[in-house]
Amino acid sequence: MRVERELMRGAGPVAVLKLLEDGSKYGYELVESLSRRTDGVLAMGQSTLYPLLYNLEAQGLVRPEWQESDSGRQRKYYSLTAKGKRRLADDTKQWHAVVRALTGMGVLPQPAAELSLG
Amino acid sequence: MSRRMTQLKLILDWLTRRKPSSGNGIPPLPPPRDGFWPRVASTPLRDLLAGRLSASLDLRRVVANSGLPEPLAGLVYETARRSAVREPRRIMAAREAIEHFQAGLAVGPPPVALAESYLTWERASGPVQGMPPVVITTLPPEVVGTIARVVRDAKLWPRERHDVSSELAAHFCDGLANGTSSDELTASFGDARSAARLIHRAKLRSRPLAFRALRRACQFSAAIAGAAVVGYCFLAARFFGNAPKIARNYIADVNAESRGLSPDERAWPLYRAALLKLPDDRPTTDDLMAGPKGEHWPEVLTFLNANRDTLDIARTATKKTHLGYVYGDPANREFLTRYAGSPDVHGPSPDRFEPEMMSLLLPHAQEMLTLAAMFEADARVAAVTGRGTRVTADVDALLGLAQHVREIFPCVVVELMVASVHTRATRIVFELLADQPTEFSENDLKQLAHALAGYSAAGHLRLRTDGERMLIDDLSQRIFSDDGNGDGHLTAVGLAALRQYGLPLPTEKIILFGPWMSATVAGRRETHDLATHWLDRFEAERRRPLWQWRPWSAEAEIDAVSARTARRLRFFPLALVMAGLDGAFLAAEAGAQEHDAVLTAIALELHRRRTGEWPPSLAELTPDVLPELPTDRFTGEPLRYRLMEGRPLLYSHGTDRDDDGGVRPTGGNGVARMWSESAQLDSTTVTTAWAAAHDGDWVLWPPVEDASVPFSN
Repeated sequence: MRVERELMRGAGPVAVLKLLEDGSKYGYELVESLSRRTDGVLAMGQSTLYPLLYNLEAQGLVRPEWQESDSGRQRKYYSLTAKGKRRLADDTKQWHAVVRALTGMGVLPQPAAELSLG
Repeated sequence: MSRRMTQLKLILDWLTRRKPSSGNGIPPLPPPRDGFWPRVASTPLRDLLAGRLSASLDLRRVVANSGLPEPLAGLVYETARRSAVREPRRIMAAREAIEHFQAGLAVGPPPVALAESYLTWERASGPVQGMPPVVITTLPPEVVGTIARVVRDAKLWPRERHDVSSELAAHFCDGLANGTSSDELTASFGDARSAARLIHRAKLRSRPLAFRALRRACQFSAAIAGAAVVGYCFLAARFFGNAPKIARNYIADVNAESRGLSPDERAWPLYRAALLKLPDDRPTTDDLMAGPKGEHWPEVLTFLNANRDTLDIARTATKKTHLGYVYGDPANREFLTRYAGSPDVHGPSPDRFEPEMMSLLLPHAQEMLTLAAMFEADARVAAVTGRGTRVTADVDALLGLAQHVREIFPCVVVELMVASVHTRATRIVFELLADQPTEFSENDLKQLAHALAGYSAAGHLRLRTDGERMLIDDLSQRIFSDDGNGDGHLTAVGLAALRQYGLPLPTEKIILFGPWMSATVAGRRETHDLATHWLDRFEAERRRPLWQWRPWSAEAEIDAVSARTARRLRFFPLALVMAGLDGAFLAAEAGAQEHDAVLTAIALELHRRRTGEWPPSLAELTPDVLPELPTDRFTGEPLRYRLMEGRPLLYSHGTDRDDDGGVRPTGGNGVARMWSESAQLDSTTVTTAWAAAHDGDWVLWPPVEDASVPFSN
């Protein structure tokens, strides 16, 4: 199932920040993780992911760094900054509130759904 | 065309000619030029001075020495050779390309595949400089093309382009290494154009604040410029696309009354005949008005004697009931040729008047003032020669002429001319009553009194501003468009027509600024409504006598319009008309005061002849020789009267509104007749010096020889 663009615009950044909470990741790894861990719901192609990453970088939420991979190729790894961590915490609270609200309205089933990214 | 664009064009030309999908179409590197002189020609001056024939500027040699295999060597040579740069930079570009390909070869692909990837990249995004070798050496051409399009369309800076393309290439490499086909990777990439747009925006946010601020400023400026262009186009279409429509001939309206008169009622044909009889070589109006003490009085006497019949014709004219001047009357052509320089200044016929009324010339008014000066001079001659009856006839003629001047054009400004003629009549009577009262018989005095009393309006301003309204409406129909509902806007034709008023409006300024002016200048309806509003209030408020004078309620609005350039421009047609209205009112009030005073002076003289002495008060005169007591225009109280050394003194309280016993202010009699509103007199801003200079009364009779100061506030 694909989500609408507007919804994706809100969920995409927090999903990427959440993925980076565990440690730095490079673009392809993020694409794969998003697709796998959300059952494709929040899957995004390069054309969406990289602009999103560049936006997060411009906001100072992630820090990019070129590193040599095991295969010897250069890859750009992204990691959370302190500001990114704070933003993730804030966004997570807000999403919880949204989920509770939607559950209360019967949009989401009981018991309250949990974000499956954690 | 920029160097980079030239370079790209040359490469593309070469590509389309060579079918670069395979490396076979690329010509091989030609051998370096050997020989002494070719080496000298390709050696930098620095090396030559050092005694070395390095030939380091020989492109073929540089590429050959790099050891690059074909077709890469040929590719580098052809690309560098065709670039539109000077030799040192061409060599530098070739070295960069050599390093690039050497790095690519180190990764593993064969030279032909490398050349093909390179050409794929070139086709999609231009010069290869700044691109990481990994992109063009390890990825299939279709993937390279996708990356190239994204970074090209994202309009990135070189470092950003390198970074983004490297990252995207690394992503594709990861995908390929993970077993995904290049087609699948390309398909899952998403929309390249959309990606480019999003990457462009994201990278913009990362750029330095100064750059973003400059970019915003440029965008803002461009938006302003764009809006200005759009606005100009809209206004220009309106400004140049419409033209004024002259729907009403206001001169015909003015003519209507005169054309309805019978020949016996019209004075103008007689005035015209008299003026045409006058010689060109004659005393000036100032000489005629100067009186016996004037420097040229002998010439004046000669002139009057020689033109006695002319004056009689004019005197006959003054007895007619109406002036009856018809603008455009062919009978005036000779007069206009002589006194206005052209027979057509009032149009070819009474029904056709081409110029706008604002530029209407009034040569007949000017020349009627000449006749008035002749009557004035003749009255003084008659007084000297002891002919009071003729003085009376001349005063009567002046009053009749004043009535006719009033019919020249129904505007307040013409009232100033009327007041001027009327003042001449009253002052002659003042002077002669004071200096030579015996020259007047009782019958003369009665005739004078009747003539003055019968003078309609008696110097009061005719508070009809029909002429001003006509001037504004006529100007409006000539400069504004007409939407059929009484509204319209400034047009190019109308603006150009304003040049005749001396406005500096060359054609290029009209083209450039005219459309903006049309948006700034008030429209036709707004102009008309505001003029009507102001003139209605003027007429209503100036019907009150002078002692009830209050500042014209529209004056603050007019001042506000005059004070700011933008407002002045917005209502400039009104500025051409509204000036001087209050000045005309005050001049007429001065005339009214003198008119009342001269009737009182005649009554005093009549009383003296009947009783042998001057009356102790003006009350003695009523109702036998004076119907009612004259009013002081400054206070609304009866005019002041007293006997000084057995002689009567008639005076007004004057500017300061208090009774100083008929003593003139130190500033002179003229100072005392200047109007100042009560609020100004009570104001703490009035200085002691000003109060002292204005402390005194306006002596009306007997006349005093003071400088005549205009009646103004």
